[in-house]
Amino acid sequence: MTLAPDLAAPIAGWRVWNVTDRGRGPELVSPVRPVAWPHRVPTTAVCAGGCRPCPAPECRCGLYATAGVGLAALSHHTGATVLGCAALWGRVVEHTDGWRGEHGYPLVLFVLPVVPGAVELRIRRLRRRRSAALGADELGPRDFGSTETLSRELARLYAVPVHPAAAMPDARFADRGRLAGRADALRAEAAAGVAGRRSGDPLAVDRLARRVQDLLDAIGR
Amino acid sequence: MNIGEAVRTLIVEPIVSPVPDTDLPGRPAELAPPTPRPMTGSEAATTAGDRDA
Ligand SMILES: [Zn+2]
Repeated sequence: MTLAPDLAAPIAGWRVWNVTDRGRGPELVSPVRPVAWPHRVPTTAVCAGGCRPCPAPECRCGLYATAGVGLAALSHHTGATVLGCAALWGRVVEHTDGWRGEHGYPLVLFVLPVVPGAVELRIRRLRRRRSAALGADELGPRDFGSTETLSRELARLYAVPVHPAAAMPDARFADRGRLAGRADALRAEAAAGVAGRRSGDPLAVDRLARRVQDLLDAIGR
Repeated sequence: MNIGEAVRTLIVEPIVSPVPDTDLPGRPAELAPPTPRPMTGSEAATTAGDRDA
């Protein structure tokens, strides 16, 4: 059976990543499963339980993204290094608060500051565990020199805008008020303007840059 | 990540691929910049469009 497409633009959702380097420069990895998001090619979900097609509505497989930035922000305490909007396409299971997609690629990224103090120790333990599962070291911004250096490298390799962020949007407030409005506007533009940006339309590039600046202002850069 | 209850399944086929096929505008290409070297007249005539390794 051939299904008619429901949407002709990708879905954009918020999510977080960790970072590794397997000799090709910084690479995004899922914080939940040892799956890397490679440079310049779509990431395709594979179900550990063998769902075909993947993702299946009744399973938990697929590439995850959330509608509100707050849910993604919650992951920062597990040591997420990068927050961003990802495009999801192919087969996409829509949920009440997000999506699970078949294919994914980042649209715009923010490199987060290092979490200070006691949390850092717990994060280091989690990092060691995730690194063992991945078979490669999970790295933080300091391993690349600074959040600025890591941002530049990610931008070069993924060819999408990457910005250092002074802070993670506070998960408690991120889905309410001004911050939520700006995060929603950025997510909408990231999806709607992707065709324009890919074809080099400077207006589309500028629209996304303005939405990025609005969000950075709201989280206090 | 808790994304709530599954609602429906969509088939999403973007008209333009979300994966960039060129470098980010205003960013240097991944390749090192070509080193300028003097060119003879005959080279100049035959190398147009060629790509160095
Ligand atoms: Zn599955």
